[in-house]
Amino acid sequence: MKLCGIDLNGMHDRAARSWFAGEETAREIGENKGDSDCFIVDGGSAGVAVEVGENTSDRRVVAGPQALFAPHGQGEGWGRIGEVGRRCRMVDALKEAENEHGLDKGIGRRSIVAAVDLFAQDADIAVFAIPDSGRLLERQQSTLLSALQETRARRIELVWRPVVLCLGLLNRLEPVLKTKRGKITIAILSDMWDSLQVTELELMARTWRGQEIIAPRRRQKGDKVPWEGCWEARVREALNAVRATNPDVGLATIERQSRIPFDIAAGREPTEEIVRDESGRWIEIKVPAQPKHHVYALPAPAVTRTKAADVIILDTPGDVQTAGFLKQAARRFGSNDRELIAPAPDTVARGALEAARRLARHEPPWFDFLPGIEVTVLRKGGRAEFQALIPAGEGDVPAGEPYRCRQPPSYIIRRGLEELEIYLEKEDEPQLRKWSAPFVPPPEREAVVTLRLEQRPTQGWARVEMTSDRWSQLRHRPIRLDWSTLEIEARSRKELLDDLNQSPGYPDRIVYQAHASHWDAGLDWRPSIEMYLRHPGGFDKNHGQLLNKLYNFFRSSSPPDGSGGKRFPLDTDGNLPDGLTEARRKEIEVLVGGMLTSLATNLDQCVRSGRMPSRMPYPTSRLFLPATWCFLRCPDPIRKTLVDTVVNDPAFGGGSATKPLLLRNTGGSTAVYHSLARCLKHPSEIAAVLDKVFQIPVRKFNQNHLACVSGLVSRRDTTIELLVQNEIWTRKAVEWACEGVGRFVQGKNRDGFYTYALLLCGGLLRVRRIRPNFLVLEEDESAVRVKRLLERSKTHITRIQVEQRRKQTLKKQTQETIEFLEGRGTNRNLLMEIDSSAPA
Amino acid sequence: MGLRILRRPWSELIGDSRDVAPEDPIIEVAPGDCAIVAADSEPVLYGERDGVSPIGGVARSAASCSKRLYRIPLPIRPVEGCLLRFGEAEPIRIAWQEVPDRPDEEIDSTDGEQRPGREIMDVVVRMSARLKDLEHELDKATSPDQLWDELTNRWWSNDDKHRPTFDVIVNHARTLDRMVVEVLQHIRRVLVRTHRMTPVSRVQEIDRRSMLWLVRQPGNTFGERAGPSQRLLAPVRLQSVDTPENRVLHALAHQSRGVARTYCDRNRYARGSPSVTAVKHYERVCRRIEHTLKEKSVGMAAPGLPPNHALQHDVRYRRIWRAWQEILRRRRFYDEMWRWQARSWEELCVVALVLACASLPRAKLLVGSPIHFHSEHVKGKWLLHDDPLAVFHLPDRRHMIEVTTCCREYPPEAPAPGVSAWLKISDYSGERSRWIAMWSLQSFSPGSVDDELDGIEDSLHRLADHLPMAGGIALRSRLGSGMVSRETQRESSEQQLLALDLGLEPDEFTSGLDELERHLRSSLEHAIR
Repeated sequence: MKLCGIDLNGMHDRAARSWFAGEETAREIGENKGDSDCFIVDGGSAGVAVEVGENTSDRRVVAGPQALFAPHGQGEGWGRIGEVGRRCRMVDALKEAENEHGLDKGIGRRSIVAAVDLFAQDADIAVFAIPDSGRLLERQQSTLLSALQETRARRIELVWRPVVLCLGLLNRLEPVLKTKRGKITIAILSDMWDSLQVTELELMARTWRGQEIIAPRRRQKGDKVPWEGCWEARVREALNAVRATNPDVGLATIERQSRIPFDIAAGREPTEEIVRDESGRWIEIKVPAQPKHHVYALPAPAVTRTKAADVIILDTPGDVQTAGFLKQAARRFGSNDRELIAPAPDTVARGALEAARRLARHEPPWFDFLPGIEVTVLRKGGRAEFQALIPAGEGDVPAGEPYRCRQPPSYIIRRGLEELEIYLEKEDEPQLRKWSAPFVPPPEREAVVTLRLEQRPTQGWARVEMTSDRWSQLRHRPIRLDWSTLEIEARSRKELLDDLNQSPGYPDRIVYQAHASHWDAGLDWRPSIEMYLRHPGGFDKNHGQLLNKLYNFFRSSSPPDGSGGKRFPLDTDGNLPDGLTEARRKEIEVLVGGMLTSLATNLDQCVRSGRMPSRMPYPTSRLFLPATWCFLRCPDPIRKTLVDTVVNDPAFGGGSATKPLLLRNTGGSTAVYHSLARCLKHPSEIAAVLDKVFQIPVRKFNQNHLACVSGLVSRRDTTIELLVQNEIWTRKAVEWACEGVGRFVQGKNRDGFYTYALLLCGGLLRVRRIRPNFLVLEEDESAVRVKRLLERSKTHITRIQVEQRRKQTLKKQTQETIEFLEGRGTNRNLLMEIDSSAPA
Repeated sequence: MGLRILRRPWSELIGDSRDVAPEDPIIEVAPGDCAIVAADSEPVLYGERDGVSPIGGVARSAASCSKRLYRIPLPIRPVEGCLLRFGEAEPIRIAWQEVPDRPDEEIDSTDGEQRPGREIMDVVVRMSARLKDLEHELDKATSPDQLWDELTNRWWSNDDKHRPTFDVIVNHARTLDRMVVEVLQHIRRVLVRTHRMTPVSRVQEIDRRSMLWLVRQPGNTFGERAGPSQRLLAPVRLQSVDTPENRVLHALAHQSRGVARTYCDRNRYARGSPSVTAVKHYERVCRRIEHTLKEKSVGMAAPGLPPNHALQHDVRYRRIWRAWQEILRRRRFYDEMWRWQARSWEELCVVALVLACASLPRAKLLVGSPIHFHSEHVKGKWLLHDDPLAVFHLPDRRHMIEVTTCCREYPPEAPAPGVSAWLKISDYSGERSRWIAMWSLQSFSPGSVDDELDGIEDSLHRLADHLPMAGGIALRSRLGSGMVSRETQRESSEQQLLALDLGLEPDEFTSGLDELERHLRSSLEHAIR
């Protein structure tokens, strides 16, 4: 097996391979006696990558030692290939990898790919050491890994630089470990390009699958501490010195071609060199007289963080000189009492190779922590909560092996649901994210899906998949979470939970207010009532006109004083309006009370006789309509008569053999059913009516039946309570609503009918008062059906023959009903609006 | 059409080229000539994806129309020639006189006999081995300033002189020799259902075909119908080893045997080396396998056979399948090397030139263009690099040497037809510069090197009108072995000329390169003086 460890840092790149390249057949190390334990590839110091190739189409990026000598990007003196854009410093490329969004498609990405490809070649496992700077988070790791997929190596793993350092230094750390009873803390100071990086690791011996292994454990992120003695600063300083020594050479030429500044920064002895200037001439660059080697003090945060450590490792990507120089710096802050290790320059590469060897043996190279991930789930009873996929503080995860979610959450997907929304919270990200998992096509029956998580430390994003055991579509092709496309959620965790747990809204019931001006203005009502009271029971023509007058008075909905709105003389609960004088109020009470009693007596006479009084010149409905327009003030006998009428209707298999008296007239049925909707209040009465009405087969009910049911549902909370108690009625009611809308969509009934159907739909939403999830799209299958029908009716409305304003009103009301079904409706007056627009 | 054919790369310079008449159906190339054409448009080779890439410079003839030069690849059967199309014109055929075909070392089984193409093939194999050496150095990610030294060490080391060339057959000999024998002992068999005349007492089943046969037999009872021998046609299950996987084994053994024999023959000078010994043993193993399988009447798999389940999933047969694929790939590789040998020779010459520069006293590589070794050739090119290929610094002489290969606009000052590489020797200011041109020649009938010297002398005179020339070098590949490199030099007051016949066997090659370096050193002295 070909294994490779890569230390790509831009200052001095190296790799350790487990095989010898450059022979006829790649020969594995260890086959021959006397082989060293690995083959070190030296990538050279101050690494660069260059873009070679004449035509733009076949340009490739080359890194490694060949690039160091390439003329590309060295300035105009080299002609076309000297273009500045063709050269990229490896430190810049690596900095790009630490960007907020990770690597993009630019030359930085191609440079890293070229370098790794050169080092790892076709290795089976290549380990790439990444700095623990706190900047290479999952997003950056993912982009880096996806870039490295382009190399020839079969498997590439990212491993923290401090971790591979420990692995590379195991033979020196082991004796220390023994003296400290099997557990030591190690602080690693890494002298990187633009900062000093500080990391702490624990090293301990532990048992892994029956074997004793020594592996570091990483408990927290490393720190990036700005430092005036970092490489970048040192090179800049040396560059200034070189410029001062060679005043006649252009700055760009020195910056691009001279290696002297870097050599000085690395502590090497620089030699004179020759470069080509912009005009193509060759010039010598002299070495500054006395290259200065400052000893910089280590930054304070680095010092404090290393206080508790047993061993301090001073890591620098340069060579021996730089390491010595760092050691001097460390001595200055007085850590002489603790063990200071300045590792050999190739330790990181060797350590990475050791990590690769462990991975090949399925042995964890180190133990790491994982940032917690939580997702929203719906508990029983409809409560939304967050459940952990990775619990926060999961701190001892073996690297190299996938960590799997212990309790994968499940979701129940209703039939026809097109999308599931899940909110995710990551421990290391401030904002929540929303994942919309689309189901294409939606499930045909209820399905249970499960979220599965798999994550390997430092190998990029967690892999989250939505699968299902029973639903074959998802079983074969799980939906994979794409972290890069998640929407950022603006709400905080608490706000979100509050919003999710808020039950979906429902419209208010229909309540029309009364208006005093009916009683004050004109005062036509008084003589009529008085006259009626004087001559009750006179079944003649004048009597009929009188009743008509009363009926018209009580049902008048627009106040005479011209103030707008739909207001009756009595409100829909039968109360008198405010703003009446006490005397007037008393007067009204007496007169109306008397009138209602007389009406009741008359109706009773009439019904008791079983047949109409001979030569009665007006329909029987006149005898109860003025009373039922008094809404709940309607006297009990009248209510009872009306209910009995419906109950005894032979059409429903009622008690009487003949058609009840009140239904015999033309329009009698309409008057009775609409009256019922207005005046019923006792649960027993409503129950009796519903029981009878719902016996009508769904295909058979007519507009009056629908109006009665929709009125009862939308006006009285008692009806809602009854519906909730009786599951069959609820289902019937939904069926009626569907049928009503359906008939409209099929063109069987007109818009008036549709209004009642819509009213029923809207009225049914009031069941949510008691059962919050009733008719909510995600949770109620029938809601899907209702919604589908309403969507169709919306298009049908455009085709019916009514005036444009009516169309718009209907459309708006339909849309608002749909919104309620989706759980986001806001118009609480919806029912009143629908009722007002119903034809009189 | 304005197509001209050139005997030598410099022919256009000295007016030695001949026009091709459009009505000529076949253009004959003598074995001693190079097949180079000067044309306005890029030739398209029939049966080839890409065209033919041009070689150095633009040929500006007297008529001042600029043409580019193209080396035409050598077909597998050179006498039959190859078809070329230039732009819209009718295709023309270029054929070589008396150049043998590419020998089929994998298929031929005649022993001991010298096949006619062998010598050429030997050169091709050695050439590719030298280029592969460079690839291996590049794989090590050696720093360019050490790359040329490493290559020098490799080629001049004593080891190398007794190091057999690398071949995939060595790998097979090392890894497969026991395995194939084992496979032969436990060979995969299948039960084949077939119809045979079976004694009545042994018949176990009767199928449709047997019944049809039976009713056609005379007689009333079974006994009568079974005839005097008392046999019926009945289905039987017979064991067979003639399966696709065994055919592949047969093909592998057959082809490996040919390859192994040629390999041992070609590496006679390294007779005792482990590789050759192993291959020799492997050849015997293959011979035995071939013999056994032939006896068992196992057929031979044809290339392009799709692998069956056994070849993909049986551990042993999978290795056999891979080995066979490698042998087939090897064959394709050498086919390509054969066809583009002139181009590979040119690349090897450039490498030799850089190597010679690197071994100049105190020469230090300052800049080197990254070299990429292609896994598949691109129009005959294996090495991919930009120009200048290398720049050497001579600190004690305060001079620079730039090595540049064939590039369209280089050098800008002069017509440079057919030059494979340029050396530019200049001081720091770049004001005093002298040039050395290098040509590579590949031919199949060695004439006198002196003739070549005359040619380059003439062309240098022409070039001197445009550029300050310091010398010219012609490197010619030589067929056969056992002779030392022949070189001729000529010194005039102005220029230093060298024509070198370079053999490719280790000793000849290094002594040739030494000669080249010696010449370069004196040219340098001459140029800087």
